[in-house]
Amino acid sequence: MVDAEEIILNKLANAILKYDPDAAVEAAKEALDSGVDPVKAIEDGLAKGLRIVGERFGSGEAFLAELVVAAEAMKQALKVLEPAISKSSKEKKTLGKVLIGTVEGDIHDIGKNIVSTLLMVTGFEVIDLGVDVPTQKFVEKVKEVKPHILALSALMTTTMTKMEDVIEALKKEGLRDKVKIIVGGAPTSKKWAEEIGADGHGADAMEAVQVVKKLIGCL
Amino acid sequence: MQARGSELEILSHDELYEVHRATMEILENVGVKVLEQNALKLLKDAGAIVDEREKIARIPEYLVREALKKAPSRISLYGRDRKYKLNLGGYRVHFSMEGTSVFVLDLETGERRDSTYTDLEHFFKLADALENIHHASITVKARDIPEPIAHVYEMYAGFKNTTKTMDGYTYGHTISMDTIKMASILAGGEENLIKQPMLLGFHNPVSPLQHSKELTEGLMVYARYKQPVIIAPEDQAGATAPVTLAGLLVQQNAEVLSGIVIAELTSPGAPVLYGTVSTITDMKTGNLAYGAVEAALINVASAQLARFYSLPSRGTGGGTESKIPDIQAGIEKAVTLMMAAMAGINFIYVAAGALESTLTASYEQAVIDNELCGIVLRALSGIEVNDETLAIDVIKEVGPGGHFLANKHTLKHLKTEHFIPKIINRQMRDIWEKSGSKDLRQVAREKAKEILTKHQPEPLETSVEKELRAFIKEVEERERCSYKMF
Repeated sequence: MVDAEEIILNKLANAILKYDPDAAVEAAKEALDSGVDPVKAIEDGLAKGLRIVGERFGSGEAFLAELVVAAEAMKQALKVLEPAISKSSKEKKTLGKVLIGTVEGDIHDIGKNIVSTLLMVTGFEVIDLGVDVPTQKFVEKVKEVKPHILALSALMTTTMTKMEDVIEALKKEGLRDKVKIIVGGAPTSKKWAEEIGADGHGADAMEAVQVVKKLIGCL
Repeated sequence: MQARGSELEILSHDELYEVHRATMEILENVGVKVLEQNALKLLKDAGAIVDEREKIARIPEYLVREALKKAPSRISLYGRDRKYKLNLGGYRVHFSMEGTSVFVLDLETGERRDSTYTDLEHFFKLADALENIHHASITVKARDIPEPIAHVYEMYAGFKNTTKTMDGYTYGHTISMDTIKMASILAGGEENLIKQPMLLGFHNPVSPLQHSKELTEGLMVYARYKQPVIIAPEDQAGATAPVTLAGLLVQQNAEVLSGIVIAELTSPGAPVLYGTVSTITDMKTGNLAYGAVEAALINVASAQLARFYSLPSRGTGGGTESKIPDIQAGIEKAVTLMMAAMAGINFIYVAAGALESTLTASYEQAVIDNELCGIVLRALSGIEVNDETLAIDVIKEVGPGGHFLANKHTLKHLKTEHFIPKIINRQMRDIWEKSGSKDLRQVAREKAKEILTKHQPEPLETSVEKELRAFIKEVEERERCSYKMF
């Protein structure tokens, strides 16, 4: 006989697998009402579903839009579950913390958003600074949130030089060794990453996740 | 070299009107984000509803209509040699080289590497020599030159190596003004440049619905100097635009028309082109798909929208996601180029030399695409029907069982009736094998090398060259960096 908890955990996972934010929120509420541990609901329910969607996307079975909606469903369900997590068990299990943004002078964000989503799906905590982020802001945020990874995006040859500025600014502040840096965006390359002293380069979103995993040492 | 597109249309007049109506609703109720302060003020003063904090301008329909009244329906662009003149408008079709790639396929090794100043000179030379290419663009970025001075060298490379029309550079106020000054030297003064424009500017709204600070500055500089500017957003269906192509057309239209309003408020009569670089996002990878058939459909509809507003048009044909000149490249290029041309897009960018979603430029691909452009131009000229071409007398003369090879009529018309291939191979197998069994890429590579060795572009006048170099020195001092070329 399947117990009630397992049915609810399956509901949570299935809501994600069916790309259905409403069902995910419903299942999250049901989990709380039935006394399921919210941390368990996240890890053995929502996150399990999202991991499968991530794998489907990686194998070319799922579409990008499905991946993004699945991540959105997870986010909405988290809003229901997170307030119920007791202070003691608040430490969420993540693979690591990633600070991401598009460099100054560049307002392109779709590529960066795809990488953010995929990182989140994989199990990273992602802090997204948005687009046209001033060099100094990256420095301040690195100080403040202490990410494992700093991910820089640029779409234009005119703005990709700002990536170098960020790295130089971090050096000046003595922060360069505290964080691994990856770069990405259409005009960038592995060679470019080496030239400016970044630690890695993601040619597309899937590769970016692989590189982040490798740098953090969880691959 | 004037070709006219056939009247390939996919939207009815009623459907065009539906797109227009929907666009006006978006412009009036959602508006566009304008990150350039002066442009935002111009819009506000003219009657747009402006949210200063969000930098959003909601544009009423009458402002769009006033702008369209001021924008010219035909535009001329002049090359250093005045015989190279683009007449943009109506159904006339022109082909351009690929623009601003950041990598090249090395002509010797076939490997992808960063593009350099030397590559750029070579591509200008190639553009100068290729007979079916009307416009020489900044095909690759000179990545070995420091960014703050790269633009003056890139312009110089073009002025020096081709007499055809070429791109300007519209990234920010200072850079745009530098190009105006350089073109003025070439034109023999600012007044001449304004009368006969020689620079083609690019304003790419960032979808959805945003005008960046730098490119809007460039748009405004070029508008004041009456240099034509292409307003071409790159909407990606499914990612930065609705997944439905009609929805994409609405958003693109709002982006283009709001750009035109900014241009015409800056300087009434500013020459602008209705442009598109839009296509779909590949939903499996999240990558762009320039070679997609949907891009071709968007081009056809955009040509129609441009004519609906009596504006010259710019589109994209010849894009591909392929990394090398291969069969995929051939399929994607043939389909997108032929459809854009048949739709009568006036200026088809990226028509020659592009690979890998325009990230990479290739010499041999440019030679192959030149051939494709020739084939498309022949298709556009269609079948002429008159007494001479119906050839009744000739058929009578030859009669049943004869042949036409020796007939004067054949000699007289063969070069105009048939496209004469330069690199397409039509030999019998034995002959082909004897000459090395070369595939098209190999033949094109040899042809590219031959052009780069032999072709000598018309040199610049000594005084003009001296003045251009002096100006580059000035910019180097201003930016405190140099490339040490002179």
